[in-house]
Amino acid sequence: MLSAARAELVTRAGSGDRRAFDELVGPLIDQAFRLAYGMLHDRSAAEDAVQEAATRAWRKLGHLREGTEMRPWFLAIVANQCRNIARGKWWSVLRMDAMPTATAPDIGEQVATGADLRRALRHLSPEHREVLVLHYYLDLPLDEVARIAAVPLGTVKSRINRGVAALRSFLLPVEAMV
Amino acid sequence: MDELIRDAMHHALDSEPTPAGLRWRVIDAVPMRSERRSPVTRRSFQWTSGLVAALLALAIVVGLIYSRGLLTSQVHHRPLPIGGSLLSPEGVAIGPDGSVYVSDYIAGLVFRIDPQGRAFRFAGGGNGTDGPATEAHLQHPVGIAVDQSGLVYIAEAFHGNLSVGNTWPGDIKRIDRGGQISTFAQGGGLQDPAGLAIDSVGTLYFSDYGGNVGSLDRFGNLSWLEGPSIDPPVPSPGYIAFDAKGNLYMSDRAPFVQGAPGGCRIVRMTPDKVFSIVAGTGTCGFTGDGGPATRAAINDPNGIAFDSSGNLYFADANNHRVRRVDSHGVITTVAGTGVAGSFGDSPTQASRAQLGYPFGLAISRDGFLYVSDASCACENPAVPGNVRIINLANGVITTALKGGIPFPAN
Repeated sequence: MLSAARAELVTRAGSGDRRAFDELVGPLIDQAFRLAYGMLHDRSAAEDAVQEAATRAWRKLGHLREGTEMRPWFLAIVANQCRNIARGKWWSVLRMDAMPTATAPDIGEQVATGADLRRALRHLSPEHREVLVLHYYLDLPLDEVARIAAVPLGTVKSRINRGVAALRSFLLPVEAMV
Repeated sequence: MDELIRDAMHHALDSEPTPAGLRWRVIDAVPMRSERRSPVTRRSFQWTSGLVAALLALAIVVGLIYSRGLLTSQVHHRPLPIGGSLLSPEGVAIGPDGSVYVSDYIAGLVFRIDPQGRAFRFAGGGNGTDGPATEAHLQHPVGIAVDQSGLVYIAEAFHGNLSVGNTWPGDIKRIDRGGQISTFAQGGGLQDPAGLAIDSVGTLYFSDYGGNVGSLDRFGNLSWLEGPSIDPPVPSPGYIAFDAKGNLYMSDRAPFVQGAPGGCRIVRMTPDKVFSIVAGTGTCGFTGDGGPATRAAINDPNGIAFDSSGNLYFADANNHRVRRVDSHGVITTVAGTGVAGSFGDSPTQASRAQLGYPFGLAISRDGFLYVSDASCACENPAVPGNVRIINLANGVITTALKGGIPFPAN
């Protein structure tokens, strides 16, 4: 069961106690934004995603179950919201159109710039982007990444491997990859 | 390597720190009520509040116009509530009786155009699950397929039942001939189904936007093709279609990294699972009309369809065109000028008409090509898309289903 203290918070938050809801979700907003920005690469869209996720989280407080941890539960809602936005062709078409034309990385470059990596991340599918951001940017362990992404651990590893492979050319000079 | 990636991610993403005060703004903006909502299974809209507002505004405007009798020449039925009109056409399929089915990604609806040209809301618009299709909730319907007996299959992206917790995979719905909808496939690794196609023996194939292609027998038993990835890589398979010889064609929509293999191609898989590229170079763009399709650049291919002569048509979405690859492998533009727009709403030559991000395609037995044309709705969700129709015999395009007009339930 939920601990008595947290159950009390959940009850109060569900009844409209904003301070209680803040105690539950507020500490996760920073990570939520970083996840959303990592997935969407759009500051405004990331804020919207976090806002929508918080609203959904409040609506779903009654579904918190035994053993449910707040962080993976809430970040899963954020990730799903981002996937939804990124999968909406209407959005992705606009993002793609807005992107500057990318060029292949110069073999002589030693390390990619931040812009290069952001561009590379943008070209990953939302699912691959999601696991990379969760694992490498938010430093979450793989089992928690799996819970947030709602896929088996093996799928997380596979997505990370494929995602990393796709990013490698942006991270290493060619001679270092061989 | 892990540390390098970690450092690079921080280098790339730390430039956008969390906005100051976001925590308080977010918490304060949650629309709480005084009582906790009961954990009912009613589904919630997945759209952003902006889209919902746009839909509401659209429905109100259409309702007002209709109530004033300004559209009496086009509307013969009482207006529906929100969701009764076409907003964002996606998948297209044609049934054995000639009915044309069109999914609406944002509105969460499926429309049917009957052989007499009358349009109906066929599925979606309600809150139910199993039962009458017009009372069901659909979450981002994408691909559609209709088998020879008239069963309609719908790929539903991101199943929206929030009550199951944090796992929201998509599923595939089936609607029987009596208009009853049920979940045909769910789970088993199915994440984000997109394209649907039925082979000559009735097996349903689907693409999963996560990177896989699978099949479902008539009982819903799922199997995947060749493990987790297809060789050559198809990172984001979109729409799929079979030709008359049983070859499966896949739109390879988006590359992971520009310049990397995969993306912006049409891939063919023979019944022996031999893969080849039939259009696109792996670099997104627009080149090559009049030459070999394998040397032509295409940009975000979507719907695929075949005419009776075996010519392949595909929606070249980001080029705002429909292109054809003939039996000799030569690619040409069939419709669209390359400039997004809606010119050509009244009958005109398709080559002079404008399209705006075409997605789904289907060709009827009598040689009419149906095109889900977003008509730039992607740039402004309040501007509805249309379903265009091209007479392949003379190249004339017109509008088969106009967006923004409410249609009655089937």
